Amino acid sequence: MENALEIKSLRKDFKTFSLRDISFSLPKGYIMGFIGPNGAGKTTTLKLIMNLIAKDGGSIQAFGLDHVAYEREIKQRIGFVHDQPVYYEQLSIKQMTGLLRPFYECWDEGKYQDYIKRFDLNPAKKIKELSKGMKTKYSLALALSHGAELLIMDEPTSGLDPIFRRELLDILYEVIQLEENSILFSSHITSDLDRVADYITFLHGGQLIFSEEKDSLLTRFTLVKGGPEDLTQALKKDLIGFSQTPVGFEGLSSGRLSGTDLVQEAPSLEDIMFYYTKGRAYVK
Amino acid sequence: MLSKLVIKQLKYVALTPQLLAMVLLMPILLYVVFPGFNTAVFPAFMIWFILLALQSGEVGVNRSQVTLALFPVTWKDYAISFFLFQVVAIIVAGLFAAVFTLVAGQLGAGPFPQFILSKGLSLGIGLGGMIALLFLRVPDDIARLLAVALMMALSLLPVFYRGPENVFLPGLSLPLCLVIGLAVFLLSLVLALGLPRAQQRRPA
Repeated sequence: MENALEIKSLRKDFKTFSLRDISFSLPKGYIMGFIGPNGAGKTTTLKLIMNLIAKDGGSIQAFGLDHVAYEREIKQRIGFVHDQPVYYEQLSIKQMTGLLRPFYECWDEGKYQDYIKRFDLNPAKKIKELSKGMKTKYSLALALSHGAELLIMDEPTSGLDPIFRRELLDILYEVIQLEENSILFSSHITSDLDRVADYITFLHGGQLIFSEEKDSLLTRFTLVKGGPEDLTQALKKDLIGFSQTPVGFEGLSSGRLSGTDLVQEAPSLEDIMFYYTKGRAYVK
Repeated sequence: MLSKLVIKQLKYVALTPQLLAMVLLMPILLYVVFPGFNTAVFPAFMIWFILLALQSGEVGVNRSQVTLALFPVTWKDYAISFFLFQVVAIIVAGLFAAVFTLVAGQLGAGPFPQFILSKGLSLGIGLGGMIALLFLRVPDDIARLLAVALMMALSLLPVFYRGPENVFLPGLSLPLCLVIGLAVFLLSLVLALGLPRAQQRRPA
């Protein structure tokens, strides 16, 4: 399977934080959810992919090309949607697009006009007057109009109302259905990814916890529930993480537990992220 | 790609006429309103003020972030285009200062000292390079703050300059000023491109 993005042993050191040995790949035509709590290293990874900050080790390839040696070519084929979209705030949408258009070889003006209408964006409106949701829509319109084959989106749904979040996810799903596009979608709102993601990559504390198909991931883990007396020392050792209340416990195990009558069900992405993040010591 | 980036930046400045007007008219306002600025060395200050004000204002806000995140360019493209833009800015500032001296002369101001424009421009080349280096190596917000501080420090020039009335900076010949300006500009360019990338802070 051809990869839109391939990252191997990526490393970045800051004074107070390190991203260590991150490796994952995103096959063409799929959506990858990039999850992790705040401060896990998601934005750092995305900025490294875009070469907005320099890596300290490892390799990043997009469409089989090195992201530094072929930066211009790769950026022609990538649409990057910031968590805090950055534009020249004084300009109108029309003026900002006018500055961007000449740089993209595959700019499709018809497509751009369609998206502007569809997203209900007023070209005369100044960017500083747009809400976060409108800015995200504008970013998406730009990315889709220059024929981006890989969309990299950093927390595009955070701070947005549920209606727009749903609308955005529908658009992304449509983009994937219609064309051979791929999407790397960073979010800590895992319910969004439950709906659209094919793959999940989970970072925590600058380390890769896992990167795999969402369906296999949801079957690989089990959410275990029981009364307070069921949470024995032996069981605690089998759990990746658990939370305890006076009336019972809930925990995450890697696989179904045999020989027990505890309640076992499929976890959500949020369950998996929560128990990996909180570890063993979490008590409500 | 470099020319596209310079044109993009020029278009952006042109699309914000209120910003351009402020950068160009602010020194004239200082000259007219504050008697301390109304001195013979004002044209040189004007050139330097325009160069600094252009970057410390709205043009410098998120400049690197916008360019690198939205445009399909490399950091090196951005850095070189920044220096090229500074060259254009120096030419514009020089032309504007020349027009100012002509008009002010017609209105009875002056006489301005000899070499005021040529030496001001020569040293302005170096200042332009230093500004580019500053904005490329230091985070935008801090760079803007430093540029404003430098602008305020330079404001003292017309107020406190006590050189002879007939020649500007008599201790420095025009060729020497030009050599200093070009040397600082080139050194800034080499440092900007040669040192490792400055963006080592963790993204927020």
